Amino acid sequence: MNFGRVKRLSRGKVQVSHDGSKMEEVDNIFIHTLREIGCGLDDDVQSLKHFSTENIVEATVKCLRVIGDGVNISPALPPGMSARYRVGTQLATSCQELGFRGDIGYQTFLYSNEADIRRVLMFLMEKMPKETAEAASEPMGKSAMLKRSIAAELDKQMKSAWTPSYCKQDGLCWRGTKPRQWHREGLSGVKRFHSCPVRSPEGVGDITKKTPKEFKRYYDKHLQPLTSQPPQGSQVVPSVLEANELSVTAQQEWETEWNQHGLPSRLSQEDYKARKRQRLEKRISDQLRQAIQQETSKATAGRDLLQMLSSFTDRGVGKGVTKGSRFTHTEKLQFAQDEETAAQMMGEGPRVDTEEEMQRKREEEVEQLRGQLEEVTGQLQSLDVEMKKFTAGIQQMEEKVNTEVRGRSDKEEAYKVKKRTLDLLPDAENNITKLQGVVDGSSQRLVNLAQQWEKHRVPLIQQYRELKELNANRESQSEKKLEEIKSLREKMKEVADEARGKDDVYKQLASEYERMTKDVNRGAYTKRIMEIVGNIKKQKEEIDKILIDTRDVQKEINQLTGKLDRTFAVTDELIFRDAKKDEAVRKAYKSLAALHENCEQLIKTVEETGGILREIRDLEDQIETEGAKKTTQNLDRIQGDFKQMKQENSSIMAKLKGK
Amino acid sequence: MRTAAPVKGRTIMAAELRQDLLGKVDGDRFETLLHEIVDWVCRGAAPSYQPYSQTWDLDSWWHVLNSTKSFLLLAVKENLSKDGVLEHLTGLDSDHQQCFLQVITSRKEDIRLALISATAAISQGALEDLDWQVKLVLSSDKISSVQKPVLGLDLAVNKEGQRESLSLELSQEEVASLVTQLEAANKVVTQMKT
Repeated sequence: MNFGRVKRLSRGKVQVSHDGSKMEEVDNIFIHTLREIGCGLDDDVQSLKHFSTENIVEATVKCLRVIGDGVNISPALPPGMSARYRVGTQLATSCQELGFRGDIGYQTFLYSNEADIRRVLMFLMEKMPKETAEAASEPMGKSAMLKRSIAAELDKQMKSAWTPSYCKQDGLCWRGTKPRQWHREGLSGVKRFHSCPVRSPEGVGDITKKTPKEFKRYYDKHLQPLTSQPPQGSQVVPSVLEANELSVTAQQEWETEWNQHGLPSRLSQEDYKARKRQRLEKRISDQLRQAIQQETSKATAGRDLLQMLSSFTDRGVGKGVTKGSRFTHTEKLQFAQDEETAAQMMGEGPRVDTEEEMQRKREEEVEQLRGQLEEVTGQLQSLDVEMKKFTAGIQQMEEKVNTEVRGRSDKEEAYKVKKRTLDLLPDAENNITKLQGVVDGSSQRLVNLAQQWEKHRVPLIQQYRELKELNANRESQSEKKLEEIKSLREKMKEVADEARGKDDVYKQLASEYERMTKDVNRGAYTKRIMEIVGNIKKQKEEIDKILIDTRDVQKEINQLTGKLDRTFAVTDELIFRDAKKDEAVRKAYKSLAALHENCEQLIKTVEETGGILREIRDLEDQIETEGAKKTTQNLDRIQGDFKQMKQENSSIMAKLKGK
Repeated sequence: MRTAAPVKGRTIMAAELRQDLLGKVDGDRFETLLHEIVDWVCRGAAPSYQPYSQTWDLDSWWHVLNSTKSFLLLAVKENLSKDGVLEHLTGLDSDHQQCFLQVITSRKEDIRLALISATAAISQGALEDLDWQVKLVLSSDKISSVQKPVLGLDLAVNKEGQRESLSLELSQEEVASLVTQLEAANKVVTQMKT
C-alpha cells in the first residue's frame, strides 16, 4: 500500500511535465515572442514540434542578437555540412558563454529534439532584456502621445480613398467597416466662433424660494429654448460656451477679490459691493472732471501756441509749410481760398500784371494781414489779462460778500439780546429779582441734573467697559476665524488642483490603456500561470497526504516493533524461568529465539526489496529520459555527418590536388 | 452680436408711443413683440415683419419698433420704478401698460447687460469674440522635422457697427509676449476696479 502511493505520486509528476496541452501554451508564448523579435515563422507553425532546423537556428540567432553580445552568425542555415557544423558549434558555445548549464552541442540545433530545444529557448528568453516591458509601463509624455495620434490620423487619411467634397458634409465621413465610426476630415466644416448672449431660467430649481410672477410668466410663455435663441443655429455652441465662461470667470474674479480685499474689510458682501460701487462712481466722475479741465486748459494752450507761431512766422517769412495747430491750419486754408478766388478773378480779367508785381502785391497783402493778426492777438491778450483781473475781482468780491453776510448774522444776534434787555429796563428792580429767581432755580436744577447724571453715568460706564472688552474678544476671535477661512480656501484650491492633475494622469493612462494592443497572449500567460499554481497546490496537497500516511505507517511500525520487543522480553523471561525446571520449555525457548531471529531477517529482506524496487523505478525513469534523447539515432546521424564531412574534405583535397 | 446700433437711437420720448398704432394688437401679442424687441437689443436679430404685415404698414412698423425700443432702453437706463414707467405711458391703455411693466421687470438684466456692453464698446474697435486654434507645424519644404506649435488667433472686432475679423498667427514667443501684455492690461483694469 505504501509503495503504491509513492508510485502514483511519481507518475503524477511525469504526467505534469509531459502534459501536451500545457506545453502548447508555452510554445505559443515562445512563438509570439520570436515573431516579435523578427523571426520569419510560417503561420502554420503552432508548436516547437513543427520547428524545422532552419527555424531553430534562426530563432536562436535572433534571440542571441537581442540579448546583444555581438553575434555574427547568419540566421540562414548554409548548405554545406561543415559550415552547418560550424554554425551549430558557434551557437552552442555562445549559449554556454551566456551561462547555459546542460548538455549542448552542435547536434542540439541540427538534430533537435523537442525537450532540448525547449530548454535552450527557455533559457534564452529568460536572458532577453525586459527593457521594452519597462518602457511601456511608464506613462508616456504628452508630446509623444500627440505625435502618435497625429501619425495615426495621417496614416488613416493616407490609406483612405479620396472622396469628393460633396460626399462629406462638413468634412464628416464614415470610416472603417466593423465598428463604423464617423470621422472629421480637415477643417472645411469649421464654423466661425460667433457668440451672442443667451438666457436661461434662474432660480427655478429652488422650490422654497418663490420666483416673481413676472419672471415666471416670461419663462413660461416667452423664453425660447436655448437652441433657438441665437439668430443662427451655428451660434448655439459658441454662445453656450461663452455664457459658461462668463459666469465662471465672474465667479472666480469675485472670489479672489473677496479673499484679498473683501474678507479683511469685515463688511458683509452687500455692504462691500455698495462701497465699491460708490468708490468707482466717484473715481469715474473725478476722471471725467479732470478730462474736461484738461480739455479747457488745452484750448488756452492752443492760444499760446498761436502766439508763439505768429512770432515764428515773423522771423521766417515764406519758409513754406510749417506745422501748426488747427487754428493755423484753418487760417492757412482761408488764405489759400482767398488766393484761389483772387487767382480766378485774375484769370477771368485781362492779365496785365507781371509776375514781380503780383509777388509784390502778395507780399504787401501778407504784410498787411500779418499786421492785422498781430493787432488782433494783442487785443486778445489784453482782453485775457483783463478777464483774469475781473475773475480775481469777482472772487474777492464774493469773499467780501461772505464776510459781510456773516457779520450781519452776528450783529442780528447781538441786536436781539440787546433789545430784550432794553425791554426789561423800565421795571428794573422787579425784573432783576425775577431774573435772580430764575437763575437760582436753574442753578438748582443744574445741580439736580448733575446728581442724576452721576447716578446714571456710573453703571453706564461700567457697561461700556464690559462691552468694550467683549468686543475686543470677539474681534480677536473673528480674526482667528478669518485666518482659518483663508487657509481653508487655500487648501481647497490646492486640493482642487491636485484632483485636476490626477484626473489628467488618469485620462492619459486610460487612453493609453485603450490604445494598447489587447494581447491574446496575456490571457494565455495568466491562464497558464493560474493553472500551474492550481497544479502545484494539488500536488502539494497530495504530498502532504502521503507524508501523513508515511508518518502513520512509521508510527505503526515503531509501535509494533516496541510491542514485539516487549512481548519478546516478557515471553523470554517467563519461558527462561520455566526452562530451568522443564525440558520441554527449554525446547520452546530455543525455538522462540530462532523464530525471533528469522522474523528479523524477514523484515530486513522486505526492506531491502523496497529499496531495490525504488532503484528500479529510478532507473526506469532514467531509461525513459535517455530514450527520449534519441541518442542512438543522433549517434547514427553524427556518424553520417562525419562521413559526409570526410567526403567533402576528400573532394576538396582532390580539387586542391587537381589545381 | 451686440451691435451698437440699437442703443444709438437716443431717447425718443414716451409721447411718441402712439396708442393708435400700438392699440392695433392685443395685450398678448404685444407682449410677444416686446420680448422680440428685447431680443433684438440683446442679440441683434430684428423681429420679423411677416406676422405683423397685416396690422401695420412698413412705416408704422418701424415707428413702433424704434419708439418701443427707445422707451425700453430709457426705462432701464434711468432705472425707472413702476410708477415712473406708468408716468411715461399715460397715453396707453392699461393692458399695454401692464405689458410694458411685465417685460421691463423680467428683462431688465438683459437690457442692462446690452447697455453696458454697448458702453464698453465705446472705442473705435471693440473685441466681440475670439477664437483660437493651435497648429503643430510638422515639417517645411526645407526642414523635414520642425515640430513647432503656432497659435491661430481669430479676433472678431466691431468697428463702428461693422463686424471685422482679424486673423493672426503667432509663434510661441509671440504668444508669450501677448499674454504678458494682456496680463499687464488686466492688472491695470483690476487696479482701476478696486
